[in-house]
Amino acid sequence: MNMERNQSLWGDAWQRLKKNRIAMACLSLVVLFTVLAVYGEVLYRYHDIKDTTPAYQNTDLDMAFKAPSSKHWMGTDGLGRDVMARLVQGVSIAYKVGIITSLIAIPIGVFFGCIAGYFGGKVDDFVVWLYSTFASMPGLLFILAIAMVVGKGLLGIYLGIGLTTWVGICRLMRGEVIKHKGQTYVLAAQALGLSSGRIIFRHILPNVMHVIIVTFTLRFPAAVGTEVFLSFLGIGVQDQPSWGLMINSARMRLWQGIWWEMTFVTLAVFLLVLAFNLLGDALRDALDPRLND
Amino acid sequence: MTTADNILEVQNLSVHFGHGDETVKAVDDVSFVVGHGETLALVGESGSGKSISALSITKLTPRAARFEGGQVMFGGQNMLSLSDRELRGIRGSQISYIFQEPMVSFNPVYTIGWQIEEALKLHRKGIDRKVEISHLLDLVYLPDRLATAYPHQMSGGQLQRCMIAMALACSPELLVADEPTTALDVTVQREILNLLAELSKKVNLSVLMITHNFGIVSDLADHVCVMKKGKIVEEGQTRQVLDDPQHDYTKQLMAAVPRLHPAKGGGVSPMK
Ligand SMILES: Nc1ncnc2c1ncn2[C@@H]1O[C@H](COP(=O)(O)OP(=O)(O)OP(=O)(O)O)[C@@H](O)[C@H]1O
Ligand SMILES: [Mg+2]
Repeated sequence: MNMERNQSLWGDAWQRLKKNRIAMACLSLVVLFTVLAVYGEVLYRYHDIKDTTPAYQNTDLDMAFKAPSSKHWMGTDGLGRDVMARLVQGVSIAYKVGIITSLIAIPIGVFFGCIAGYFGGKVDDFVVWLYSTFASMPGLLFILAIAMVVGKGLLGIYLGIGLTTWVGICRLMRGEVIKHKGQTYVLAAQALGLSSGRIIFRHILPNVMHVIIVTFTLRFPAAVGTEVFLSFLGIGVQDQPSWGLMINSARMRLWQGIWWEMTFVTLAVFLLVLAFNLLGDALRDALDPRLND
Repeated sequence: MTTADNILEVQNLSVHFGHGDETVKAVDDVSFVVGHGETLALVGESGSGKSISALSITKLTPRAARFEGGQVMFGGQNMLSLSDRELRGIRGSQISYIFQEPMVSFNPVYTIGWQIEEALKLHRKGIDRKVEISHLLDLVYLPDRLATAYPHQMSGGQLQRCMIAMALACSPELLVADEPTTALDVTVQREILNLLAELSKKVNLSVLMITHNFGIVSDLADHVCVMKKGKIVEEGQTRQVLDDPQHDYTKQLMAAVPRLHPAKGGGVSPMK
């Protein structure tokens, strides 16, 4: 029964989304990135199990810092590794960081924001206290502390970023829910005898979905940016190429005229973020029946 | 009057907002009853506490409201002492509401059919909901196809009909209508009122009707209560109150509101 209800909301949205050319183009791009991410992940695991060196780790010092050519379309880096192979491999980490941290942060933020906004009173006081406490801790220190506990590497990054960045969405959701709680349709739902949980998550949440979608799309650049920083500090990704590591090393070579690594990685980040943002906007519009007649 | 005659008895109800000097006595020692199958009209100027009284019946009042005393007897129970869960079981199934502005009373992201279904799912298990939805739309003279329409695609009058359909979905015993026609065009007001009158007769529904409009009072109500600043200043049989208002405030209110059909019904025209 739940499925059936979802279908009317999301099914209708999909019908509307299909008519939007730009959205479809962005969706294709997102699908492409997703395929690359899966490919990269599989490749990494495969070589990890077989204990072999994947192509993106092949070093060839004679080939260091070669400009783009027919053999290396995006050139090579300081160890003669193919930039394109590493870039493709990096999609997987950018994705994992963007998505997994969102999967941690967004549900926490949405849940606390919704109950604080809807119930008010003591619940609200508690949630506001909780996020104020989190917000007052320097995020980086918190991430470092988590990395100490769970060890270096991706898990630390996921937990660190995820557990520190729910505050923003929590604040936004709380405000939105407070706004909607006063509306007559919520009173009408209460007058029908619906439970608070159902009113919050079935009736109010779809009306504030745009906040979640926009937050999600904006998290990607931020998460990738944080990953760059953490990898730079040495608590991030260790044995795989990540966009963070690539930008970091390319940054120092840029003045030597080695532009390709920086250019292509930046372009990739740009495309990923653009695709998610435009798609997010279109999805938000598609989810609002009022905008579609 | 004994409880057996009345579906609802509100006794000495007081609902306040704020504390200390700032206290607003929105409802101040108010008592009224709604008889089985009867319509009680609650009239009064803006801010006189009509809506808060109506919402108090099932404790739908805003969080800031404080119940300072009194009882709301319905079905042999004091509604004010029921748990949240018990109240939810009564809301929508035994007591339904219709609000002033149909345009904002529906959730904008769901179809009308979905929202009617929501009520059925909750209080009426084991029926064919699709069939019931089209039956309900028939009841309020709307075509079935509107079940798949979104609220913004419909007119205010159509939406108020849907609201009535939704309110009646679970065959309530008491309908609380808070100014159900104020936001509508004059011509549409008449249609909606006729519909309400027709349906309440058909299913022997008791109605608590809140209104500014003495035309509505004279056409629909059996009894009337006049509220001012949280208190009831005059009450009685509709005919009696309209023919011979005792309180100056009632006379002012009657003079202030033009009747819909001054010629109809033989009631006293407030214009005199
Ligand atoms: N959330 C609230 N917080 C504080 N005071 C409130 C709140 N809601 C209502 N009141 C007060 O309660 C009083 C009665 O309000 P109510 O809504 O019952 O008036 P009403 O008779 O329905 O008026 P109208 O005809 O304009 O709908 C008003 O004086 C108002 O100031
Ligand atoms: Mg009111």
